[in-house]
Amino acid sequence: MPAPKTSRVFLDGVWYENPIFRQVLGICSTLAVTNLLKNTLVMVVGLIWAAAMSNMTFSLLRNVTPRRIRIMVEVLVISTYVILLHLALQAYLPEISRDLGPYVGLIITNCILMGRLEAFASSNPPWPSFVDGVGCGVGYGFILIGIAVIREMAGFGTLLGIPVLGAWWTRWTLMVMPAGAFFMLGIVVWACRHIWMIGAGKEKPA
Amino acid sequence: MRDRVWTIVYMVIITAVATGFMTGVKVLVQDRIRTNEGLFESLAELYGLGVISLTEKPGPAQVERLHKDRVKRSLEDGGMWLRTYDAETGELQAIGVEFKGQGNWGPIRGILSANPDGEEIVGLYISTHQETPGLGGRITETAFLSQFKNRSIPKPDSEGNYRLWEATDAITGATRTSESMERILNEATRNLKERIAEEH
Amino acid sequence: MSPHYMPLVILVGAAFTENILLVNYLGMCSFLGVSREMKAAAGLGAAVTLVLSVSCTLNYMVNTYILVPFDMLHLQFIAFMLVIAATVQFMEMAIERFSPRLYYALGIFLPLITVNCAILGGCLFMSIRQYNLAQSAAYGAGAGLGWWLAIVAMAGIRQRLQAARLPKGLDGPGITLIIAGIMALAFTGLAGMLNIR
Repeated sequence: MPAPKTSRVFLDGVWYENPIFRQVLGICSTLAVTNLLKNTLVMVVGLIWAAAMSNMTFSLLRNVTPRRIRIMVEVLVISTYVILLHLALQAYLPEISRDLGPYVGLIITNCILMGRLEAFASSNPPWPSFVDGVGCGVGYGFILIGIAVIREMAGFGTLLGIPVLGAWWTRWTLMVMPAGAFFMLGIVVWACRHIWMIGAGKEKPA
Repeated sequence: MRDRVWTIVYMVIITAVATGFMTGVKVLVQDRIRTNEGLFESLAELYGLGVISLTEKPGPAQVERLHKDRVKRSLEDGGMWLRTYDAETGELQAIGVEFKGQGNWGPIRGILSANPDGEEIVGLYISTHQETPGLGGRITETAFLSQFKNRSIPKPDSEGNYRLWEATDAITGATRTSESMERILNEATRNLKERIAEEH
Repeated sequence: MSPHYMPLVILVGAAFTENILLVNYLGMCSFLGVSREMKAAAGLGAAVTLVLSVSCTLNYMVNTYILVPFDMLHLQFIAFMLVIAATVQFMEMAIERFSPRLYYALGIFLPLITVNCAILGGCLFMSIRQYNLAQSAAYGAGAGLGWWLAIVAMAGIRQRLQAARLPKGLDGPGITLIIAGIMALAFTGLAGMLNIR
């Protein structure tokens, strides 16, 4: 199979095959971290790192790995990069690590990583796989950041912990609770899919 | 048969490589991590004993120096006790205790200190917790912690609780964290009072 | 040291008051994918419950007897994942042997249980809260049952939705998330009734 064009791979990851609203992966973390922008940013950076590196590494191993243990190897690769990130944070950014330690570990279970290893890296060369990882990470990232900005502002009146809405804003605490997360994501997915469908010519704009 | 062997060998190799890599990195950064943790503990004690105010953010060298000069740790029965003495006169300024309790999501650890008579709180600092960021997590905020400075310790009630803090002073949306904090602070206050009584 | 919650309390609490899906957001991906059809949903729920119960128990033992004594806690994620992967592998073989129909119905989702964040997440919660053996087993079972309940409820609702006319953009994950939000609201009412932390 000829290697796909790099720019196409990247754009697919960011929009056309966006992990959140097209592939429906990585939902758990989207709901969990988007109540605060700071946690979201760390999660996004962590995911881009893990996705790009694991995709590339697994792609290098794709022809030698026995089929039966493919999943265990994928898990091993992903875990390695996430643990490296965790160690690096603990050593060089201890404050952030202290605040966000548990979330970093949960990057391992982010289905985007596994999903891309299975769907892309297992049958593509290392460089496109790396780009796919970055693309999917970016696609994941911009949606998460968008949701986080709304949830943190509506729910706490702050952004990155700094108050941006004054005292006049009644906090919509529901926004930072599970129900609010589900509703926000549902609406965002709806909006994105609608736009995507218009773009793909499947639906006329209302 | 050959396939099976290769599968197992491959798995062993790759596990070994991954584990080796990670352990290698861990060993490299281990000291740094330990230093960071040590600094964190020292800083927590400085805040908790009221040596520096909650808004000051000293650098690593300063933390180390201040901690060395001003904080004395002593491991006595009942746990780790902290004392700080005035820089000039050498007079005992505060006695503190490390507390640890079960919060909403995980353990909450911190330092509570009182003046030598045991009548007034000198400082409170929460060093670790796993509460929801933005909700229960606000117990680490300066606004929350500083309300305890110079608060006088009430007399114990009929059950021997010190009621240092009522969960009604609570954080909106963080009911269970507030309840845990109420319990933890009362326990810590009792500990502190008993210890101070022993000193006298 | 974890307070002494009775395992039964933990089991009920994990299923209802702190539903692993609707409160802790774990296990969403397969939830969104498989909740369309009742039979598959029920089957997957059962599988997840089994895997959660077994892996929480096994991982408790791995944690207590291997990771902690040998100072290998930095490898906790990997160790847990390997145990989970092995558990799923065995279960896959068992299902293929005893119920080929279920095996085909679940398809790709069976091996994907391995990376169902609910499983690893549940094991990590168990370790953070320092449950003992009985509590860990109860927690795994309860969390699994809660997940099962959520996915079956969702499948029931979605089957009824087939008669409704939804905007194209909303069909699929969109409406499922919104329904999940309403379910989460309902479960919020149960919060705090039982404290299992």
